[in-house]
Amino acid sequence: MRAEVATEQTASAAANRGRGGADASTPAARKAAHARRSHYEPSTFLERGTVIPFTTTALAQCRVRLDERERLEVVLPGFSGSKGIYVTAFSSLPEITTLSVHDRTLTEIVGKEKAVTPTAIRHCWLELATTGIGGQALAEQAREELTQAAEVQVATRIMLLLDTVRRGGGEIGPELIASIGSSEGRNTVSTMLGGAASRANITAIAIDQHIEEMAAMLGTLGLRSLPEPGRLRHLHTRMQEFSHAIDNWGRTTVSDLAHIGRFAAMSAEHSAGIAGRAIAEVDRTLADPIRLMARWDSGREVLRSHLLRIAWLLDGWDYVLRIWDDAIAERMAIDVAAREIGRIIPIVPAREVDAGAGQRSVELFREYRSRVRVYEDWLSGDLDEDLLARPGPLTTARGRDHK
Amino acid sequence: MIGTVSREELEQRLFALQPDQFLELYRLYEKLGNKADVQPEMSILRRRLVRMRPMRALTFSRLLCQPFEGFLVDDVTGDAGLIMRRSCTPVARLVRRKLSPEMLQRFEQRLAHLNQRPEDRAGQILLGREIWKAAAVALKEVRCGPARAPEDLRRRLGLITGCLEIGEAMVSLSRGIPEGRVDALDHSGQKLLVKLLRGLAHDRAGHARYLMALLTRRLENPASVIGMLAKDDRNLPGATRQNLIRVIRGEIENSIGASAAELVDGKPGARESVHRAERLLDRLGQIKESGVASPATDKAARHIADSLGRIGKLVSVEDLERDRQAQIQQHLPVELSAGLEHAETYRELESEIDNVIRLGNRIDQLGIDNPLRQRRDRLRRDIEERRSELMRRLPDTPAVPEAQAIARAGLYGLVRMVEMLDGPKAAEIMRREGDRLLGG
Repeated sequence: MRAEVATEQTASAAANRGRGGADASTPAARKAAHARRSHYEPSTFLERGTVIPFTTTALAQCRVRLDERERLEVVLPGFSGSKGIYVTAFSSLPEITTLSVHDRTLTEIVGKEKAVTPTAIRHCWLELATTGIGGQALAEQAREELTQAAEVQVATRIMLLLDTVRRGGGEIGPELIASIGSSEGRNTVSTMLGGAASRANITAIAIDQHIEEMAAMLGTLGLRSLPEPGRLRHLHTRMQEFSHAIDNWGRTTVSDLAHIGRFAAMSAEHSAGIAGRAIAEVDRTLADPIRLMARWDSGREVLRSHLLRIAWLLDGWDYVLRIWDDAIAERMAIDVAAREIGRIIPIVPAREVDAGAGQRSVELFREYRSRVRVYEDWLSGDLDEDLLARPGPLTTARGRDHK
Repeated sequence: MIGTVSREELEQRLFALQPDQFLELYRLYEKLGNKADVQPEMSILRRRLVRMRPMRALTFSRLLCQPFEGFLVDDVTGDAGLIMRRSCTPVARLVRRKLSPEMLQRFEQRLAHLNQRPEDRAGQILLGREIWKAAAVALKEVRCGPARAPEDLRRRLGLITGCLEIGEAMVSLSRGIPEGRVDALDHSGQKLLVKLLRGLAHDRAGHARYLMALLTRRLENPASVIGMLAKDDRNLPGATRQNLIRVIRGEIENSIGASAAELVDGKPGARESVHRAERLLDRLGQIKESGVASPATDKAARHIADSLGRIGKLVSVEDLERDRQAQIQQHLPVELSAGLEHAETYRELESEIDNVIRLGNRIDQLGIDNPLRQRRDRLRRDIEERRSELMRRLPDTPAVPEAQAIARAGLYGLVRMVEMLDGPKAAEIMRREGDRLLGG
């Protein structure tokens, strides 16, 4: 088994070397590397990795990413109760813990697909979960999510069609709106895309195809105007609710974990704020679909990158919300939930946002690792070797006891 | 508003609001709450309120109910140690009627002042102390007054009055126990309990039973308190400790008796019954582990195990049906809906295996005869038969995606059940063999 403890920097240090950074073989570099130990502060989404929905409890919220040699590796925060970040090769997971068959199969699929983005991993998981290998409840959940995405896709397509026809100067009467749910109705609306086609300077058939493609991409988010939001939009709302709820808990509880509650609330607010702006950006892009379709090749990429960014920003939050819901429903103690949330809370990497928000991310990461404990450096949270070596009151007291 | 849209539609619209907008609406209703009866609307808001947990304004009624809020439930069955949540409003109304207008006005002014400073806990307790004392006197008059209430109501009123008489201690203990599902008191909780018990006035020593009742309600393992009291010979006199242990043991036996009766009367195999049985067995296990099991608790354990053994199927098909998503199939491509072919049968089987294992393990830990062991063996045989049959048929699966997907879902569903019964290693071997036969 090859595993490296508390070295979030294993990848970044190697990357630094690759970029011409200091060689870790010199004492100064070694000292610097040691000083950075357990400074879990990924600066990009790719470096942070994507949460992989394992069912094995010990692996909950572990993240998968590519190492410097483009091989998959897994990042385990607080593995087996330790404080650091445990980084190991993805293929060695079955060696460090007993995996359920669901997790073992998921490992194989993710490894085969080399999936590292939230969208790709979700896709792998949904496909696997529907087979029932993780249990029928999980299969039901996956099918429900897929069905919801399919429904959002259909509704999005209809709304985009109507909007495009209207913007192209077409008139849609109430009868047509009533029949739009049927394929005949949709076909009739498709024939009315001439105005939009001439405005975008492409054919009506191309407009129809672009709308279909756009709707397929928007299945997880949906349009703002839809009565039933897509999964990510819903998750964003739930994050804001969670932020309110855990903040109030932190303010009113007598528990000594209240500070984790407030930290979780700040992290949720920070991520939700950035995700909210990213969602608003997509809404703005879709405000004039004809303009977007006129330059579809670039427009498609812009839309895709916005959606991927939203998926990255919300990655890992569904598990946080699930354990919080469990605590609220009295399936576990809120203290236990708060401790677990504090361990796995997703923080937006600093380089993925503007300077102001990036500074906030840095502060949150500092807060994440600066829970002061005995013999730990109060700034870095590392074990302070000088302090450990110093004959302290504990040693003296023990000595006296022995006498 | 309620007259024109259905409750579900209204709830849906409320859930569609942005969190900030929803909070604004809630604050508005909260302000109205003092002047108009907005309970129906509040009950619709409640589902989202539970999720958002906004800071709630301190009202006379809320502060009054704090000492006995640990005993509030939505629906009271036979247990006289519980109070209906909806009786808070009439109790508050009754207390208000009994207090002088000047006193009420003074309380309201101080409440308004405290609402400006929500962090002022000491101020809340100071005001609470006065309100609880006045309310206890008022309710005692009602209880002992000439108009004789039914015995059950008198008993519940007695519980409310008792809690109010030691209101500060009840609120301190309630806040000292972390929220959610808590097994036992931690070190600071234990210290707090001892401090509160020592602080009870001499004429209120008997009221310690309300503190014990609160612990029985809030802790998953109230028997741990017995162990703690038995060991603590420095802070409390021996006689008091013995007395408290007797009280808490009585509370535990009462609550187990009531829960066991509910279990037998409940719908066999229904999810709630299974969940209740599981918690009850957990509680019995913890009592046994704490070394304070009595003949009554052993009898309750055997009674529960026997009644579980008599239930034909530890799964409710109706519950499963209710969960099922009706229109799932129509939008999904065949590869993703292949699991539906077996879903109904597998869900039932899986659910039963899960219940038999979870309940059976708990019965085993109690060291009594386990009537579910035979059922577990029967289920294992059933799965083994299905496995052999499936493996025999797998090589003949046509090489078309639809048939392959259905066969794989059939295989993986069984793999999951083998995993539940025999562990991941046996399941992994079966999956590999199945995949090989399928040509994957």
